[in-house]
Amino acid sequence: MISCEHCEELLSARLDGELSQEDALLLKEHLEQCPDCRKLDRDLTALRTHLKALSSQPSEDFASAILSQLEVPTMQSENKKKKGPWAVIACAAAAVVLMVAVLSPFGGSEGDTASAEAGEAPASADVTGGAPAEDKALEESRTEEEADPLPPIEPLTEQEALKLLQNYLIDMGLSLDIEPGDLSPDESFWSFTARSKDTGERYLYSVYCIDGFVEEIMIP
Amino acid sequence: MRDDRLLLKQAQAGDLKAFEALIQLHSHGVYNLALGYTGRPHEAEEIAQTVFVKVWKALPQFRGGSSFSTWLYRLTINACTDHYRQEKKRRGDLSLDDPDLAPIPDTAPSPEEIVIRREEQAILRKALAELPEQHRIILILRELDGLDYKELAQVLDIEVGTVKSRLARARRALRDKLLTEGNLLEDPPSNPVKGGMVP
Repeated sequence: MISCEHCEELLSARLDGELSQEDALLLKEHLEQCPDCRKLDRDLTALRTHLKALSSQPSEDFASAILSQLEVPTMQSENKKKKGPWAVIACAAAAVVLMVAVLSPFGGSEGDTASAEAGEAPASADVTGGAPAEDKALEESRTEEEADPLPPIEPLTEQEALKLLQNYLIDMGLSLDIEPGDLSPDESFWSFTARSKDTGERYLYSVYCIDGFVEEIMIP
Repeated sequence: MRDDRLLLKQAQAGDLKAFEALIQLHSHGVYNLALGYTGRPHEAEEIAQTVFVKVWKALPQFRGGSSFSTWLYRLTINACTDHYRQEKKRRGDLSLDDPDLAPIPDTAPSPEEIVIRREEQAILRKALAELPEQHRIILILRELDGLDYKELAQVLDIEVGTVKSRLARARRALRDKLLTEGNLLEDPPSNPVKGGMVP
């Protein structure tokens, strides 16, 4: 006869419709002999009914509430997505200009400084060539959500970059094994190779030192 | 879980209608997972909405390393875990007298039935909330979202054999907890939820 522990597993499998005929016979035989497991059987069946009764539906305007919060892609966000090594160099140059502007006695006002976010300022420079009036207009058009912190002056350490990547992967619900990283020759980004635990596919991630932006590229 | 590849491709190209269809297909699963965690419809809806907004933003980066459903459930589990830990720290354990607990999803019960069943649900949600996280997650995904063993294995990144044994242990743990805290298992509801489960 099977043990009570094994019986417990078979009872659970039966609730899920995952019991083989052979196991069904073993279970029946055990239940006939064991009052404790018969009680467990009744309890688990009742428990399932109670749990199903917890199931519920979201409100009717659930989908529309989500859609109203979505940002439809714009030229500016497209530029951010396409950011490659050359754009990073442009980013770094723009950041230097930005830092000079902030530190200069003739630099921007307090408002200018507060709106000089690292993530978007380089993209703005990329599009506009850095014309102050156009930069200001673009900065004003940004939403609060797009705002990134001020750029770090020192490049990220590998540990810091790895932590940013790990947080990103957790946020994305991805389960990947990450290999040691490489710093780009110009020290503007870290590259990490990662492998999917589900499919074995390999991905390349770049973590940009200037703003911690993580970019994903699937390796074919 | 369903095959969402076409809708996903359209949504990745910026098609809001396709994304809305994805929301409709998965809102029940995501919402119930969040509701199983929080026990509060308002919070569950907030979490579920946040998850879908995050999905929209992350769609360009989604390369299909796992199925869309698997990815979505993992995102939801992460969002729920974060929320649950913050709330537990902030408010302590769930209260049985909480007026915001999930409504009774049923047709016109009597006032007495409402009171009894609200108490039963509160007991059950409290017991669920006190289970170890891996037991709580697998029970919600199986019983409220209707995921099968293979889907559970994908979402939780474990073997099917582990799904089987973990589910058995989770059910036993919840049953033992309920036995020590009342007579809920002596009297199962005679009129369970109307059409509430995902097939």
